[in-house]
Amino acid sequence: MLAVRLLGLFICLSLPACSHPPAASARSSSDSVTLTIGLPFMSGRDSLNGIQQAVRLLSFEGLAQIEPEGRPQPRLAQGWTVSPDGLSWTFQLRDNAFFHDGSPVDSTAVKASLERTLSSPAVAMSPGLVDIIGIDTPKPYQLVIKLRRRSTFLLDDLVVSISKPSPDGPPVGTGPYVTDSTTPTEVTMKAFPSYYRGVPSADRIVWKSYPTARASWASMMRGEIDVLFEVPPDAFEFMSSEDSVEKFSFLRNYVHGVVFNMHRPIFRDSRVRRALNHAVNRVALINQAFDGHGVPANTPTWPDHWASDRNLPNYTYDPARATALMEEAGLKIDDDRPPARMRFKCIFPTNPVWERMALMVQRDFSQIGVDVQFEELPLAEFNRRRVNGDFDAVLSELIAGNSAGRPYVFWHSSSKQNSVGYQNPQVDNAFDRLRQATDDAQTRAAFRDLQLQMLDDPPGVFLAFGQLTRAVSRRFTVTVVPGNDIIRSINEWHLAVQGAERDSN
Amino acid sequence: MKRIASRFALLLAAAGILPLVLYGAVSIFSLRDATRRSVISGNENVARRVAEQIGLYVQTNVDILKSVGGNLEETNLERWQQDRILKTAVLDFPEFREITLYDAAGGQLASSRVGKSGVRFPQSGTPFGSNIILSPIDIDSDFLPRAVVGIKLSHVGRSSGSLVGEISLEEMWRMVDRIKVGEQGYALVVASGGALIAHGNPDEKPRVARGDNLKDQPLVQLVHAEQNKGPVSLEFASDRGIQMLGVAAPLEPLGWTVMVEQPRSEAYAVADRLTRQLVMIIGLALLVTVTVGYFFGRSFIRPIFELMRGTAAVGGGRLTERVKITSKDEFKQLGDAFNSMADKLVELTEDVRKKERQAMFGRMAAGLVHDLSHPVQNIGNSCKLIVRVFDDPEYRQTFTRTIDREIDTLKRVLDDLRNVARPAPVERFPLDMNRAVADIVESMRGYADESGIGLESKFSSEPVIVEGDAFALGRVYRNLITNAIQATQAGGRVTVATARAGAMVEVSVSDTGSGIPQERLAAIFDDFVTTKKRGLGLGLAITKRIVEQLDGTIAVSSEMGKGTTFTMRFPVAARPMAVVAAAG
Repeated sequence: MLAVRLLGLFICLSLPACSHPPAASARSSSDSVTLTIGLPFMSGRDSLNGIQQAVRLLSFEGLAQIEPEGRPQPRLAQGWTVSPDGLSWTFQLRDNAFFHDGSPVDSTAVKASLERTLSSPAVAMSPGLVDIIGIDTPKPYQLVIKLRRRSTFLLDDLVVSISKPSPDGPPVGTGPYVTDSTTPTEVTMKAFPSYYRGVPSADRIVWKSYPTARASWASMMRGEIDVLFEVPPDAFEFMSSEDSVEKFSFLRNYVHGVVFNMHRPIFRDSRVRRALNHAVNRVALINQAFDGHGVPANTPTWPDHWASDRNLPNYTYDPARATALMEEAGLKIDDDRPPARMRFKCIFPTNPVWERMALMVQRDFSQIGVDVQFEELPLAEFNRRRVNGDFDAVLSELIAGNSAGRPYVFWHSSSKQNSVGYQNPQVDNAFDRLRQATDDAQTRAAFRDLQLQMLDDPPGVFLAFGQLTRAVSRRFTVTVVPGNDIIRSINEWHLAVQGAERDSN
Repeated sequence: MKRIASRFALLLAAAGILPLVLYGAVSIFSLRDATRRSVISGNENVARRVAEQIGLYVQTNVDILKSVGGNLEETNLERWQQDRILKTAVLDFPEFREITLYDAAGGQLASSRVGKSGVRFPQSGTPFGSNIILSPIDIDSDFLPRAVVGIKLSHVGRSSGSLVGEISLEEMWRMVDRIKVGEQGYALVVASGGALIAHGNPDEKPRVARGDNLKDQPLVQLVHAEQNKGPVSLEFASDRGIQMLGVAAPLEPLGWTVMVEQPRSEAYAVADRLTRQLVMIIGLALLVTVTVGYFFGRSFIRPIFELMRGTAAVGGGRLTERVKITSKDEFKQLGDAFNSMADKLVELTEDVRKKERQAMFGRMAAGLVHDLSHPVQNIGNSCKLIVRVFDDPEYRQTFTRTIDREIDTLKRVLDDLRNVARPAPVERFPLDMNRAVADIVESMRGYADESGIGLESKFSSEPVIVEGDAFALGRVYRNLITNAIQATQAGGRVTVATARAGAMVEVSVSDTGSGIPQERLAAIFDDFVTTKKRGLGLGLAITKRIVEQLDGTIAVSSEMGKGTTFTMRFPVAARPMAVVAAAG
């Protein structure tokens, strides 16, 4: 049952609405600055689901954070050192960080928080944490984590939220904003005045939920919100002509793809899977489904990772080669209707972008004699089928993360999150070498082998990393860190013209 | 002087400025009118072109669906083939969100949708031929404009179902966005019901999101009033109070309206700039004209003013004034002639004065001879006679009286001459005019009797007290009475009267003599002027001077053959009667 629950969590985290980072913006009350942010929620889910995911990014922080190129950076921890054997990590905590209840973020509190995480099912998503065998607190602001084996994934997973339990409410975080009130369609957050990186410029953040991305866009056009959390791909062009808003784009660390159920015999032959990869025109798909705002994906690894080899030969759109591979695998066109050499079904949750992708994939597959029938499902039904393994393939998006640790969760044969049954000893070996690498050279070599093995033995057809664009009213000046989501620096945003948006009651 | 300048300015305005202003006004009007027509025509073309593009866009999509329908109609395709055709169609033509095939009973046969179809055959809309209908445009929940096209299919002449496609009209937005007239001119599209469905101005896009309805917009109303016959134009104030130039073209058969709006200031910017340039040029030309006219006019009028000044000066007696005209034209000749004339006038004046002096000297000499010769002759005769009758005591007394009298006469003549040269000062004491006049009248009664003249006096019953000099006034009255007796024939009458006239005391001396000619009355008080055949003519001049020294006035009235009256007026003394009486 644990595996089932973890699978459900995986699915949840792999969905865009579940995984949206936080957003921001709106207007204010009583001489304060308020940001109002509009964001869409996933069809079939609670309207606040997406907001709550975003809210967490502003309420909670980890000891470390992962930069877009995959390097860990200090957050609640000021810094760290590791013993020569790699089994003991010493973290120096900030002495000016506080929980929202005013208590200090000291080593005792951090240890307690990490131990709660270690004892929760969510630890299955954190391969770097499962190797922890002990946590010591030698000093009030010093923490020592002991591992059973060397693991570079530890820092990747120390992005996990540090929190304190609250007897009468949700856990208490350390982030720049605190949840103040919640309605069925809105969440209001207030600035945390003791935030260690300075008091946030905006006093309040109001999150508003909309049924679709375009609905939130319409709201922005009406001047009802200050930030559009997600600019719909087809609205990007119109947004470009808007002088009143500024757009900020970044590559989302989620990969869209068709993942095969490796328990189905039809997918056991890697030649078939490679053939399917060659059959898809990724560029055309990005142009139609993402309006050109995305990059092709060939493996589930983060393309901007510092150790990624960008010179590897990727899958090209080559129907002839795909057909040849199919023939080589012994798959011939039958006489059924429609005639095909291979048939399978693919499920996906209701979403117009995925439906458009489904049609394109279906057309591309049909050109090599593969008949795929897509089935659009409400999210709950989709999750149920997915958890039960009741599918041939799944069209969805999977979190790739910015580190190597996240793909490990889904594709290492020993991982309980590897629910599709993908097993490849060379891939496992690459993951293990990544985990135990002691320097950048070893990491680069292991990462390259991982990419090569997953290209040679693909668990699915990875289609694209989509670009996400956020739009912010020019009334606000946004702090931009190249490659980063601007929401991460929302506490530093300020009014472009001080006082222009201040209300005084 | 001003009238000449005014006339000259009017002449300049009529000859130079007015035509220039009229030319400028006509040019500006023509320029603006031509520009306005050109701008409106250009914008109308834009609106018409956009309307055509949108119409073509809609028609193309309808044609695409017809083509897809043609692939399905009477082809006996299997269901999976129909399904694949529809799915491929929506991929090849992204404007189509969905295409679904229904059978004659309305059951779904095939669809481009993976999930459940959401589009149905439109119940109303714009017909595109006999079997095709386009639904009214609407904005969906995703804020996108969309329309549904339905095609009735047939098989062997019988209805075999329908093909329905949902078209996203986003491309229409792009078309409208691409239209920009100048910097601030944009296109917009209004649906048949007035709904704003596209706006090219980024700042105005929220109006589309708000679902603004423009059915009351003046331009939209004008299009409807014209029954969509063709492009119309109108200038109107926008919601923000900006004057706009709008043109609109109907988009048939959809019933939409394509409008192109541009701020009037920008639309007519070229005309405004040319107008400003024209105004500046005309203004400059006017300035040059006025400046040249001013300086030319000044050089033209200045000799006239100089001549006027010279004439006025000479006329005022400044005979030495001359005009100075430097121009080398007729005005120069005129100025020279004027100066020559003035020179001649000086000569003539000097000549006249010389003659006047000679005449006056003669008259004075004659008067002196007359006034002095008689007493001198009397003295001489008396001296000759006294030598012979020196022993006669009676004669010696007569001689003494005669010598005294003639010496007094000589002395009086000499006093008059001295008074003319340097008037004797007068003293002021309260003086009863009645008494003063009575004393003089009595002293001269003997002379009047000798002349056969009746001398009468009439005195005021009121007190007539003045501040005066009794001796000087006595001389005045004596002069006037003497003149009156001398001017009156024997048997005539001389009357002296006093009267009170308000704050003045009036003393008059009247005679019934021959009178004084009117032409001589004006100069009668001048020195050396007399109506008598003998004498220096100083009496009345001295009289007038004394009267005026006492703050009085003297006037004369005369009628030939009836007599003459001299009337004097003196201020009544300010001191009370008692004081005056005591002083008297």
